Amino acid sequence: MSEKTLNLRDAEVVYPYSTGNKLEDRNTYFYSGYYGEVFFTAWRTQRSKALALCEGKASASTLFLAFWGEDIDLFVENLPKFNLIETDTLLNILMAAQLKYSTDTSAFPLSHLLRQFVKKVEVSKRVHEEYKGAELLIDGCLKYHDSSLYLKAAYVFLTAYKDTLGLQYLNAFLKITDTLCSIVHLRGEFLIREHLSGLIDSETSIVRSLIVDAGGNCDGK
Amino acid sequence: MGNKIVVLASYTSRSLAYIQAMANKNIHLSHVILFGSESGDLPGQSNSDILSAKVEGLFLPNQSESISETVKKQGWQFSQVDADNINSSEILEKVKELSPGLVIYSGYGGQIIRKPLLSLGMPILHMHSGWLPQYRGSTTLYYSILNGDDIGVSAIVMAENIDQGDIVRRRKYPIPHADVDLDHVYDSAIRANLLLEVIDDFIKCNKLPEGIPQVEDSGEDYFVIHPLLKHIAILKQKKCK
Repeated sequence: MSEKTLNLRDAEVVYPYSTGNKLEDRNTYFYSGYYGEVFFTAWRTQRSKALALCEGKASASTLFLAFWGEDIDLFVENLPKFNLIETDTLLNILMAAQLKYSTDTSAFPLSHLLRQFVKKVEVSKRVHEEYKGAELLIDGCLKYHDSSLYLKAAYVFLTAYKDTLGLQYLNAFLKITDTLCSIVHLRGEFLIREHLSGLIDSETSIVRSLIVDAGGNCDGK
Repeated sequence: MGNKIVVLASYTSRSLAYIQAMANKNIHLSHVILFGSESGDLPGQSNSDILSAKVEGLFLPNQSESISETVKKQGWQFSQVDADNINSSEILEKVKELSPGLVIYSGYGGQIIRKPLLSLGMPILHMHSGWLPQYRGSTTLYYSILNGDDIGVSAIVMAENIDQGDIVRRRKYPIPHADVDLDHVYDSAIRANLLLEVIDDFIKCNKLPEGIPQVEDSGEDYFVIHPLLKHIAILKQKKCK
């Protein structure tokens, strides 16, 4: 296959990570194949497919409920006592804390919780609607279909990466973007269609920069 | 238990590297437990030859000789367990029966050893690919390259929390030449390289060196690398040499 042109079928073979419904048929990413720079072309082709379904470019602020400093402190204080944590609240608080303190500072009060959340999403490839306790146990929860939570998680991971340059956050962000791209075509996923193009833009900018730093060529652009 | 060494190995490229490295050094193994299927498709298995350049100073296995063939050629006692999950009762019972002084573990990717096996009392040695505690988790070789760090291997005694057991020995290795396969060849070879040092210590002293406990919450947990980052890491590898 030519490096510069890649038809959709070949792109899906080389970059299958956002094909099909990845909420149900989850990616494993173990021992993934190596294709050289054509891999980046395939990734761009697959992302373009998702972008074609997007409408507008909503910002993160339209998605998150604002929390004030006192709310963050109260949440942190009561965290050990929580039996069930609603993921929507968790993600709102994480984003609020990131905006107030930046993930990269010792003042950021939720480092352990953020790491736990990354672990849960990385291992399960899903964002569950609730978790048990401060260690975020999944405990048999079967509710993982709320798109808004995947979008919020994507923004939290992206913010964490921008703050810290921690690759563990970028890794989680890339995987959740794969999942979002795989379900954008489903009926009713209006929220994803409003936010995904902005997330893909951020992803593209970061990945291109890393490719160039590594001495590579990302699709000649 | 004494100084009996038992290898608990899946049919992976890593196990091949370990087994052949030990054979090459004429290390006496009391028993080898092979589990799973030789022609399976679990993480870490490769059913075709892997093309890779050699690495000076590192032993690379002969891919045309299977794990079983090497074990038989060495005359080591061995058992085959069909179960492909490390936590199966058959494996637990076999290890109990053998009562080794040391278990060297090389399993399928993604499997975690649970309490029953960990509680048998003998140290279970795992060669973690990553400089601990900074690089815990999976595929840390790639993350090290992306972060501009040397690649590390840490020999640890397995504990309930993943990659948080006592560190027995660590060593750093350079980023290899671009023609060297990272996933199966280099990763396995550097683990086997450090393994031989640790076994040497065990044989001389009849026990493992004193381990250094890891501080809880130190270091970072990394998860299976996204293919985009893997490709970028390999680009960096090519740029290095």
